Amino acid sequence: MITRKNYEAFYLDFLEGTLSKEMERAFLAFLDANPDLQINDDELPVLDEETISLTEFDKLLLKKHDGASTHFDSAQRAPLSLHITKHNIEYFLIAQLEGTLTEGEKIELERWLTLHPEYLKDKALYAKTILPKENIAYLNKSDLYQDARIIPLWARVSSIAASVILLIGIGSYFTFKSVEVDGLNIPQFSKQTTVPVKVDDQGKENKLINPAKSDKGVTPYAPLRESQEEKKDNLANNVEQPKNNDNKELKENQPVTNQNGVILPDQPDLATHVTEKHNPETQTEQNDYAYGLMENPIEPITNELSKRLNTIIDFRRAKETEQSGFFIKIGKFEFLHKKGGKH
Amino acid sequence: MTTKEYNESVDLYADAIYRFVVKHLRNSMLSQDVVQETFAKVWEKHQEISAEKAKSYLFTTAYHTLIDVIKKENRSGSLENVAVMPSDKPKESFDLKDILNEALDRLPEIQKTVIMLRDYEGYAYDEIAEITKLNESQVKVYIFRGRQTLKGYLKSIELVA
Repeated sequence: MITRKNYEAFYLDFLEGTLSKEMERAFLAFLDANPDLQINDDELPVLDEETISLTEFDKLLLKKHDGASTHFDSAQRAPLSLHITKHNIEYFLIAQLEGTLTEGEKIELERWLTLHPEYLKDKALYAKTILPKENIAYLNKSDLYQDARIIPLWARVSSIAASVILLIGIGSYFTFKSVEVDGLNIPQFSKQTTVPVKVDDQGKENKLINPAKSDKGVTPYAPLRESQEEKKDNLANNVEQPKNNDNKELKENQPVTNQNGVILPDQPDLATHVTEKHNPETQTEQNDYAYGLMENPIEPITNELSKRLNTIIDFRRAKETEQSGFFIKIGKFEFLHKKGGKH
Repeated sequence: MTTKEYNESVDLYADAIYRFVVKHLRNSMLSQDVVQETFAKVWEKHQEISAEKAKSYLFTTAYHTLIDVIKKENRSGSLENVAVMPSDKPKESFDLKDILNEALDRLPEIQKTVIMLRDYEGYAYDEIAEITKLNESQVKVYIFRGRQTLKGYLKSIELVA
């Protein structure tokens, strides 16, 4: 039974021609009875074939070429078999711009444009679609550089040079800053001095030793504070003598390590290193002078520098007023200044 | 790629990467972030990248970082607020560069990308395909369609003029 509520389904089947003869007669009778439901031909939606079809331009983009179908190098493919027309001219104009035409296609295009000069303007417009170079600079390149660029070698050299200058400056200050009192040249600084100490295997007994005579197997090797008088006596005797020590001093004798836990060379290594570079005949004199008659008044500073730069840094000044001078060691570099001159 | 080669890549390609990004985003600050992120990502893998491939790797990384940023910013709506949106009316300026920039902004992002890689960096279709993870045929189609749109825009400006 066809009604005003369900007639649309019958109408579509009628238009499609799928209704049976009997149903078709019934539907036409229904339309006669309800003329307001009739649809004129121009009211029916008709798909426009032209608007949904692909253009020649689109079709050419879809086409593959003989030979190297995935390459657009014009030298590697066969020319298109299609003729150039007004419908596909844009494809060829762009292809010419992109350099993807074969030699045959280029000739064909030029011939076609000669016959249709009105399209030369389109060719010129396509040429303008090539984006011109623009100078846009990224100003924060320095943020992008990595270490090798940021910390060049000269910076490391500069840090070492600065350390040398610092030590020489401090050395000059301690060495030459003295005052005349009643005709005597007395150092203004009367800091506690250091003397090399030998510790036995148990670490219980410490002995004063002469660094020049110390064997390499004796470690650790650390300063022990004592008075100037005691020191003078010990050095004058130049004989190993027992000396009391306490636990605090033993702790100070522990090897110095850097941040990575690597044990840094301590003073015995320094003494050994000094002797390696010099004439054996002058070795004792050097060591005596550097370690026997000299002291390190800025030991915390030199130790810190040794840790930071991971190299041996030491500084010593003369203990006695009559033996002015100082000794500086930075890695392999050694500088000894005595009254008589440099070594 | 050594540290030295990486730093040379900064000198050689940072400007081009920045231009590529800022042309898309139209936002200097956001573009600088993308450049920073791009080079940071490349530095993380610099030992695995050969110096010859540095440029391609940088553009590939920049492109994908850019896409991520565009998606993120579009979701938040912040990009639309700062981007220079193309106007409906043709631009009154008749400077070709300005007109082209205006036309470029009207292109879909992918067409804009492939045309910029083609014209600014001189990449071949296969190289653009590698960077954008498209195939060569797609690259060709996007370039051809993009050029067609650009030319149509230029023609409309000429008609107005």
